[in-house]
Amino acid sequence: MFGTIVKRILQGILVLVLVVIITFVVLRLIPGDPARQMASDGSAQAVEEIRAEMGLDKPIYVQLFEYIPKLLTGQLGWSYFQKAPVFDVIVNTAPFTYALLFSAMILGVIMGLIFGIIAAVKAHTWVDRTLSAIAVVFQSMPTYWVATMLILIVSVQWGLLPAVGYKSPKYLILPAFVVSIPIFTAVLRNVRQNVMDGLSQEFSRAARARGISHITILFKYAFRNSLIPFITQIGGQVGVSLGTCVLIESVFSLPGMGMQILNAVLRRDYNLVQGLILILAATFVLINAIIDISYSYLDPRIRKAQGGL
Amino acid sequence: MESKETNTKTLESTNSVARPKKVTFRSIGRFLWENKSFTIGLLIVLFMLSLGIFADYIVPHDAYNGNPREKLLSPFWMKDSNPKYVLGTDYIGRDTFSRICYGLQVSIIIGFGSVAVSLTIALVIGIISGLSHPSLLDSILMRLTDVQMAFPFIVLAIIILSVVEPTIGSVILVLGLCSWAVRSRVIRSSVMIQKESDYVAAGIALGASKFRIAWKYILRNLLPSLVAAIPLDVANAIVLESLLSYMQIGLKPPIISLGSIMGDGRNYMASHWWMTAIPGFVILFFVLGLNLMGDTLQKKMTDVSVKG
Repeated sequence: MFGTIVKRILQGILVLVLVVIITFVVLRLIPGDPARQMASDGSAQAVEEIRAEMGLDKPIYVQLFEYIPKLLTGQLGWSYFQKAPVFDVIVNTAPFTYALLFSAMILGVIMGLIFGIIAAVKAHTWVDRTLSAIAVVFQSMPTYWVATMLILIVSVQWGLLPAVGYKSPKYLILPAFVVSIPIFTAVLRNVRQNVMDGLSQEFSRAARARGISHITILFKYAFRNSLIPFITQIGGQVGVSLGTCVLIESVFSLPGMGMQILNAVLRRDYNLVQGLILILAATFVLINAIIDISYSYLDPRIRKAQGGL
Repeated sequence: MESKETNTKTLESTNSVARPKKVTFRSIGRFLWENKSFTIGLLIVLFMLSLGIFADYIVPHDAYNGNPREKLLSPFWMKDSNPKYVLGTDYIGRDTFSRICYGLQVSIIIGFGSVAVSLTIALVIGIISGLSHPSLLDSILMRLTDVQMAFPFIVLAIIILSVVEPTIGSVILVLGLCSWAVRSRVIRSSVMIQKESDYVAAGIALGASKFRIAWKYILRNLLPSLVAAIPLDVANAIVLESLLSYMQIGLKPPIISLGSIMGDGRNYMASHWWMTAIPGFVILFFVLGLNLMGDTLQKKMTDVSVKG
């Protein structure tokens, strides 16, 4: 058990190191020089001075060897365009992204669980068919298009919710709903399938024969057995949803990490891009590691297998 | 050498017991009747494909140059419409329907092209790491897939597309490079299961080379599940392409993309909402058709593997 956790953490760190190196090299290969954009008078001398100050005049590998030790001591560097430490920019923007991700996950998972269980209980009836049809239509909608249409209908036409920017938690409702759509459809299908499988298993039928109530069978037998595939899927969804958050933030002009990262790439604000990508990747890696480790708590068979190794 | 060849042949011919039944018109008809959601999806997809492929013959107007006297027309069901322009016109008088046909053409090329790229990468990485498991190579390849999954797609795409000029070819490559990881995981685990199977053991016992095992035994068994994955992956790629064009990091004019038609409409949204809504509905229907097909195929695949 302990060995698995250590192995999983080491793997996660390795992935993050690779992410840092790849971002570092690719960013510096992009044509477009931040120094040239920053130099006030545009003279060659001014550009050279800024390049030297930022360390951009050295070969890429030298820059990388200077960057990594700093990173290990927690220094993410300085954002040249925000005129602030990258760390501060992240601290100021991350809460919006995490709030969006978190509320969308909760919304999507709850809706998916409720309707997935209903669909499984009413399997092969019109209720189930309607729910599946809704799921496949929702799944087919491009999220950025839904976001634009919702702004138009809910904010502009009806004036119900604010459209862009952020002043109060109310501004998160529409974006969170949009981000939750793919989560909702994926969870619904997954839960429906697994609960249906669980209900048709021997142990569920045996329980029914013993006179155990439908509700108990549903939640204690069928649903408990679908927990592992369900959790696995949520892990995968986190990655996809982080990407969706980045995107939807820019549609709704939410001041989160997504907005920052898009602007930072366009302005070649190397340190900021680097820092933000690292945080996003770390979030993904961390959540998936937690999920992998939690399997063993959920399924005694896996716990035993790992103990045996 | 000679006898080895014949041996393998007899082995394959004894396998024919498990081969699928002959495909006849009747069996296709029955499949379509029994899987109505697949059939609906197929009809939608065929309709969209024909609009895109035969765009040159279908389009009623010049899609690239507008008629300034006919700009910002509404679609046929609203007032201020001109029956000659079924879905209305944009801000410089270009016919929306004609532009959508060409946009579909681009979506189709990019959708299928990028899936070809991503499936090829996924196959190579999945088979190599599955066959070499457990090894250092396998671990390295799996960490690479982790890296791809941990990178937010949109950031990766922007970074790459700011290095290379966004053309149809480069967008195909970007989408392909950004979406192989999940498939390669699935292929790897399927290869690992197959490696333990009797027919691979028999092949090895008969002296088949590693390459032959990978090509003739394992790849052939992977094919059905790969085919089943194509519609869903194409659907995904079409949405991502339109997204890149919508955000103005993808294809540049004069190439028409459904995403850029939508993006053009953004500035006129309050007064001319249909300019953004219509291309979105086209993507929605195309993707819906592909999803309906893909879902049925995937379900058939799991049914087969459960029975087998």
